[in-house]
Formats: sequence, structure tokens, C-alpha cells
Amino acid sequence: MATAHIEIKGLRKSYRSGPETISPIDGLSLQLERGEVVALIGPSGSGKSTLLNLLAGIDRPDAGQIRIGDTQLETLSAGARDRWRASHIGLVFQRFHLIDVLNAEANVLLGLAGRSCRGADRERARDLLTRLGLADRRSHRPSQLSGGQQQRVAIARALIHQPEVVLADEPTGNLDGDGAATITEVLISEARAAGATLCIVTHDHRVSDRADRSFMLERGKLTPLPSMRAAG
Amino acid sequence: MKRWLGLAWSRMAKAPLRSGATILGVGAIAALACAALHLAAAGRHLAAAQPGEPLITMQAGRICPSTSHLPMSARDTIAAVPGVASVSAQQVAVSDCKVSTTATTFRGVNGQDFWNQHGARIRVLAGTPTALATQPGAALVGEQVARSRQLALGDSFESAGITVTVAAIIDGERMQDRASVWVDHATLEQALPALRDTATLFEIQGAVGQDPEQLAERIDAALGGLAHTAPFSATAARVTGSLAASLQSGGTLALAAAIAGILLLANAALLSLRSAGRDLTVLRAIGHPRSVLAGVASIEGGLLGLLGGAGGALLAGVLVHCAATVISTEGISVGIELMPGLVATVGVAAALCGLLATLVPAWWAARGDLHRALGASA
Ligand SMILES: Nc1ncnc2c1ncn2[C@@H]1O[C@H](COP(=O)(O)OP(=O)(O)OP(=O)(O)O)[C@@H](O)[C@H]1O
Ligand SMILES: [Mg+2]
Repeated sequence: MATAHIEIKGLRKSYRSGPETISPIDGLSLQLERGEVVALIGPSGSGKSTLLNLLAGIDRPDAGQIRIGDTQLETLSAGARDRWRASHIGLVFQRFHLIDVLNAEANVLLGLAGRSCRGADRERARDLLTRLGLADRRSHRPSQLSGGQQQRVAIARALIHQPEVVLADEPTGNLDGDGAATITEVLISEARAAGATLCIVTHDHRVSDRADRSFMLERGKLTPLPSMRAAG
Repeated sequence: MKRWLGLAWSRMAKAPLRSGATILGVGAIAALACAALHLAAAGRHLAAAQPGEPLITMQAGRICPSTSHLPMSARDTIAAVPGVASVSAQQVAVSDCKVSTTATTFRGVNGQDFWNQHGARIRVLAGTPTALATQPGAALVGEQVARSRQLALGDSFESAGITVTVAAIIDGERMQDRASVWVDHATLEQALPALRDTATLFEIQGAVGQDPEQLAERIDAALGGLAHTAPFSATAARVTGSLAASLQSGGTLALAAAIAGILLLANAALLSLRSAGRDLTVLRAIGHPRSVLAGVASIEGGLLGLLGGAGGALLAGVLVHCAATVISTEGISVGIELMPGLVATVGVAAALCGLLATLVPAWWAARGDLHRALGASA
């Protein structure tokens, strides 16, 4: 059997707030194949963002292991994790988080965190923006773009450095129904085109319907949800 | 690098009021510091010993050269002292002995002999220098005086009861050359009969290799205790003592200005970073190293410092040059002269201050609570 792209074993993360200790991730294990699209669902405060932070190497687990490709995350120092993240992970946020003094193209190029940008990168940024339907919005600032357009710029920024994993935390949470559906479409098809493994945190069932697999995060562990795609 | 400069510039342009106010503030401080440093440099220059500087012989016990009176015949006595290469008599007349920026210092010299004595270090900028010996009332005006009084060739002016006509404008190696009005003995004697046949001071050039201290002692002994001889810088320091000291306190003023500038820039940086906090966090989250981000954030401080500092220093430089202030006291003149190196230093220092003042707050701002950036509900 081929090895999984992402392998999580016995992951544990707790936070102490005052006298209480909460453990949003508590003995969680998961394997994802390369290029797979998974949706994570769960009530507010259940630890979805915490899990993505651990996968991105932003946070460190209290116990357990995360392997992505050949990299065993818990063995890396904080600085090494930052460098690794810069070249291996693409992030999409709920609130887009574009730099508002820069135009769309410059924002996309900021996705190249690990290195300086070259002429070929500029071309790739334009290609991506064109694929995402923003060919004529390249020099617009975020404030001149709609929410959906801003999130498309953010998706291009997450893909410019050809990451092997894309992590999206409620990418449609700030968009209305139609906009949300389009963004989901675009995000999944672009990740598939790039061959990246995609994890989407969402409250939106239409997103989970489009994923290869869906999981419910509850009491620190993941439960597989019946897949509409597989069923349908 | 280019994209980071672009980001810093865009952020500055986004808050034009804040950036503009900071630049103006830094500019005002830099101008102040630059002007203060020019004063301090002039004060230092005045009392600093120069290689090959002349000895000055004055009547013993007199401070203001214009009140010193030695018989012209002392010239021959001094010339006969072993180790004296040349000696020239000067009559100094001033319109005001106290510290003043409007006083004129007239130096009466032997018009025939002036060029033999001093020609090597004097450059004629305009006019006919030989008129000194041939035309009554002709004056060679130091260029600093000409600039501050806006005097042109052929202009006549009166000061301390002496009326002269500008025959030439001269530049010289020594500040006294540039900040004085040179006339023939006869011109001064006519206007001020008290000066007849007296010199107020003698300027002596020692022979090569002469120890100035020993030479001064020999001259004083030859004149029988009537006179006191010292190197020019020591004379200037004695005569202008408190003026030189107060000018040099300009250095402290500049330091205070620099501290004010750094605080202003740090404050601007904090304001700017408060709004940049989210951007820095996002950039950190997508993998940009903290050091790069802190650097980017401090480019803004550096740019503000550079723009303000360069602008202010240039302005001060232009003002110093155009005002061409001459401060004189007791017959010694101190020209406040433009020093391009000083202007450049202030500009560069302001940029560095901007970088430094921003670096620490930027480093802290780039810490970023990455967890929040990802939309955690914590
Ligand atoms: N840095 C932290 N310090 C303390 N507690 C934290 C921290 N980060 C998260 N938590 C807690 O961990 C739990 C999980 O938070 P997390 O943000 O992962 O939830 P979530 O599933 O993403 O919620 P939402 O759907 O609202 O975004 C919450 O109870 C939260 O308060
Ligand atoms: Mg969350």
C-alpha cells in the first residue's frame, strides 16, 4: 500500500485558561492521500482552526506526530517550521487577509514567502489571476474588489508557490450564498489542478458535498461523515 | 527588496497626514540639529590649533585687539628676533567690541606689502586687489562679509566711523580672511587718529621648525614685557573664550535634537505599526520570517527619517549659506560657514535614526499571534 501524503497519529493539543484545561484536539489520528480534498466540520470552538494550525506548523502539538510528505513536523524547530511552511503550505483565511495597500498581483506575489520573486513568478501570478477570472482586476486594490474577488486573489496567493498542501479555514464564511458556491468550486478545482492536498474547514454542507471525504470534529477526535459524492 | 520598498512606500502614502507630519517634524528637528552643528563646528574651528598658524603679538593685558596699542617700531624689534621669518603689523578697528552679528572688523595692513605677506593664502573672487595700496578708502572685503551684507564691487559702506569702498572680494584659507574687511593703514589712521603710528597687533610667521612657545617667549622678552605673544588659536580662544564655548554647546543642542527626532520617529512607527499589525501577522502566517518583516516595517521609519532629515538638513544648509552670519567679539570674527559634509551626515543620521527607532517596535509587532490570523475563536 502506498504511503499516505499526510499522516497524523495520536495528536493532542490543550489550552489552559485559568484553572481549566480544554483539549480541543485529544488523541486525533488521520491519513490523507496526495491530492485528496477533505472537509472538516464541527461546532464552533471544537478545535478545527487548532487542527489546521498544527498541520501548518504554526502551533506545536502537546503529543502525537504529524508527517507531511517526508517531513516530520514535530522534529522541526520553530524557525524551520516557518521556512517549511513558506514553501509547502498554502493558506486561505475566512477574512481574506489581503494587504490593502497592494494591488491584486502584488498580493498574489506575497505568497512567495521563502524566496524573492522572479519574472516567471509574475507570469504565473497573472496566469493564476486569469484562471480565477480576475484578468482585468490585476491592478485593483482589495478595497476595489468584491468579497468573492478578494477571496479569489487570496486563493491565487495560496497557490503561487505550488504548495503540496492547501489549508482553508472557512473560506466562504464571509461570502453570501452564490459567492460561496463559486469560491468553493474555484478552490477545489484549482487545488485539484495543482495536485495539492486540500483541507477545508467549513460550516457549509455544500462544501462538504464537493469534498472526497468529510469529517466531523467533536470532543477532540474526527468522525468520518457519509460522503455525498461517494453516495451520489 | 523592491516589493518591500513598494509596500513601505504604499503604507506611507496611505496615511499622508501622519507621514507628512512626521516628515515635517523630523525636518524641523534635523534643520535645528544641522544649524547647531554648524555653530559648534565654527566654535571648535576657532579655538583649534592649525599647523603653521601665525603667532599674534598684542599689548600685554589687553583682551580686545582694537584696544591694544604697540608702536609700529616694534615691528623691527620683532623682525630681529631669531626664528622670525616674517612679521606684519595690523591695526584692528571694530564697530563693536562685544559679541555681535552686525559688527565690522577692519584690519589695517600695509597695502604695498599685503600680497607679499598674505598673498599665498588669499584668492581674489572679484575686483582689483591692488587698489588697496593705490586708492584711499579702498577695501578688500572677505566673501563671508560680502555675502552677509550683500555688498558688491564699488559699493560704499560705513561702520565705526570708517567709510570704505569695496575694491575686491576675497576668499582666504583662514576664517579671519573671509570674515574681515581689509584696508590700508592710512585709511584707518585717517578715520581714527588715535591709531596713528600704532599697531594693535603683529602677525608673525615663525621660521620652519621653530617651536612656537619658545619663539613667543623670545619676542616678549625682546619687547621688554610690553607685549604678550601666543599662537593665533590660543589668542582666539582667550579673546573669544565664552563665545567659543557657547557655540560649542551647539553640539549638546544637536544631541538633544537627535533624541527628540528618534522619539518622534519611534512614535510615528508605533502608530503606523498599530495599523500594520494585522498585515504583519498574516505575512508571518504565510511563512515570511520575522526578521524580514521587522526590516520591512522599519524601512518606513528609515524613509520618514531620510525624507525629513535630508529635507531639514538641506534647508538648514541653504539658510546657513545665505545668511553667511559673522559673529564677532573683541575683534575676532567667527563666520558660520556651510559644511556640505555636515549636511550629508545629518541626512544620513536621520535615516539611520528612523531605522533604529522603528526596528525594536517592528520586531515586537512582527511577533504576531498567528493563531488568531487563522481565525481561531480564542
Ligand atoms: N491560544 C489559545 N489559548 C487558549 N485557548 C485557545 C487558544 N486557541 C484556541 N483556544 C480554544 O480552543 C478551542 C478550539 O478553538 P478553535 O479556534 O480551534 O475552534 P474552531 O473549531 O475553529 O471554532 P470556530 O468554528 O468558531 O472557528 C476553543 O475553546 C478556544 O477557546
Ligand atoms: Mg475556527
